[in-house]
Amino acid sequence: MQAQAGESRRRGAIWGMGALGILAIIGIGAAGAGTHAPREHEIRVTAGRYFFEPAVIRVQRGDTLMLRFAATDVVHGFYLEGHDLDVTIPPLSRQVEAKRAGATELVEEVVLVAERSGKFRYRCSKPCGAMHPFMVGELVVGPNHLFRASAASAIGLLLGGLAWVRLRSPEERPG
Amino acid sequence: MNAPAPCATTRTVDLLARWPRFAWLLRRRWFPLVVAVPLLVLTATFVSAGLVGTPVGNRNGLVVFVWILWWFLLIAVLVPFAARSWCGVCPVPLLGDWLQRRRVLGVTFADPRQGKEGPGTQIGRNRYRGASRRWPRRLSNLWLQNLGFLLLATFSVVLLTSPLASALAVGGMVAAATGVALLYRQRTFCRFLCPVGGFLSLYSMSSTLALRARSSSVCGDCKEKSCLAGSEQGWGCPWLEYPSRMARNNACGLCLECVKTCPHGNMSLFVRPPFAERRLEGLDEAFKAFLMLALAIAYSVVYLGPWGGLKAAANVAEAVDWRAFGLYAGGLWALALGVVPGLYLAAAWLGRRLARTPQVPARAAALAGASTLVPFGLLVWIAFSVPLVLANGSYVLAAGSDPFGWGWNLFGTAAIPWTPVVPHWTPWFQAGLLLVGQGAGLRAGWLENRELYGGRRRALLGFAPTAVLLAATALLLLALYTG
Repeated sequence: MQAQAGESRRRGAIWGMGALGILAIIGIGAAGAGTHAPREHEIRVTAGRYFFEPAVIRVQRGDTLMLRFAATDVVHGFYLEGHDLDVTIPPLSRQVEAKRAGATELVEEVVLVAERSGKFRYRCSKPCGAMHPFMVGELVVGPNHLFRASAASAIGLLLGGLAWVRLRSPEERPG
Repeated sequence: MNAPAPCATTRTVDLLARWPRFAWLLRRRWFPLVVAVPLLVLTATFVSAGLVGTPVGNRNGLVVFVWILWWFLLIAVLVPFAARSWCGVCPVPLLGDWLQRRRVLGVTFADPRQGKEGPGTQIGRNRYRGASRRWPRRLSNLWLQNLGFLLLATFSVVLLTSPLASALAVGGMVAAATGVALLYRQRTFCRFLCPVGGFLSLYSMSSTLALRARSSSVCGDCKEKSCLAGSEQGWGCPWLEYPSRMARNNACGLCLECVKTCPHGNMSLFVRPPFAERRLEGLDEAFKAFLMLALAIAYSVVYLGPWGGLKAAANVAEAVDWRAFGLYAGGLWALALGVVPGLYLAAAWLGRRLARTPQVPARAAALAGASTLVPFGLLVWIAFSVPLVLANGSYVLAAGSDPFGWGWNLFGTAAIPWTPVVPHWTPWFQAGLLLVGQGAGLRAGWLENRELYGGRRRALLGFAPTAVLLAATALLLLALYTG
């Protein structure tokens, strides 16, 4: 009896993992479908307590971002996760201090090629007030494999789980 | 699943049998006090930092240690792997314990057969100072904890960012726990009032650690019932539980008194598979699950999301825009008390209709549906907490050396700059956690519904709407975290 239950669990796990894998692959495939000619985006990022404008930047992998910055109140930062970029934005100044790969330079524009897909948060890196740790924006670089694959997996879990229950779970006591 | 059977099965490990030295440690009267007292000193230090230290949240020891380090350890480490072990060492009720017991290490033993003279109130074989009243039966549930947590959650931005507000909140909890200890018996505050205890109660069900009796027959034959009544070796269960019949983690604060008092050595700690308990016993518990999910979603939007307007609305202490805050608070309460419970209750109702089982009580169907949110909610809270510690964990090193923000450098780490640690991996961690939570939630909900509805087909129909809603919730959170 225990061996049967174990076998049932094992098969259930295989079914579930299989469904999950197939849907994840479909999700990634759908995300990667189509070609995209790289584009250039001129973006003016405004930072203020406790927001970035634009709050979300959406581009495609291979696109070039030409970022200009402005701070509306106090000194803010623009730390881009996963990109080794930390910009200090003084108020009332066109020039910003951009720190990349250990080097710091004063510039009016930061040029960045979106080479990796996914969601990357940009955060204020200069303490600016009470909610400073939560001052964030989002750079979403398509195709977003992680989102597509995880969303497909969530649907796969639902469908695979219900299918497994329908096909494998024994009928118990009558109602 | 939740029958009062012993925990010793093939899939559990009896820690005290396996490690006799660990058993020896847990049976000492000075354990876990030896952990709780240093924590009390640390808490007093950090509360002082909140009161008189720098008002800059991310440089103040109280804000940084409580809301980054403690919170993450609690929700992502202690609850999943050590149940309510925090409650066992929590410094908040220590003063109240002492006022009740008038003992630090010792036990006031009084055999009830030899008369009840002496100071204080006799409960079982122990005597306690204070009024030792019984908590009203109609309040012996999670409703007050639900309300208290929602109230605190409404002002979470103030708590998270203002050292003074955090100090007043922690200090207020100590004062409340002490006051309640003077009026009501044992750990009434922890059991029925502590806002943190409410969600620890719910999510400790998913923990891999459980304190249980080894053998129900030993307990059945036991005449002393020392775990309940106390003995010379220890106090009767301060959590007002009957430890030998305990089948869920919810109300066990892991104070370990029953391990000390059991004359048969029958109480032990067991390691078990995760998500082992799933049954909710009342609508108060179901609403705790709804409330916690709603708050996790709301916090994910407000704190982790890019919407500055929402942050400004929630930040009433700084922005002082009461109209915007009113809208924010109204939305939060509507989500927590209306939208999330409404959707999950409607899904359970719809499932019951689809299964064509009017004999199944609507309340039971609602509880079976809400059981999906025990593992799922815990994993959502961990997913929410991951970026807080990855992005802001380095503040702990700086504030540890200078908790008051007065320019100290106790451990040479005060000047460590803000250094996020692999913050770009956050969406990957979050996606993985959400999927594990969804899987565990589906399993919990299915098993509960199968037991409730009996037949497979009816159970499938009964559970399907909740399963779809759970998947939709997971998709919403995946969109927030990774999309």
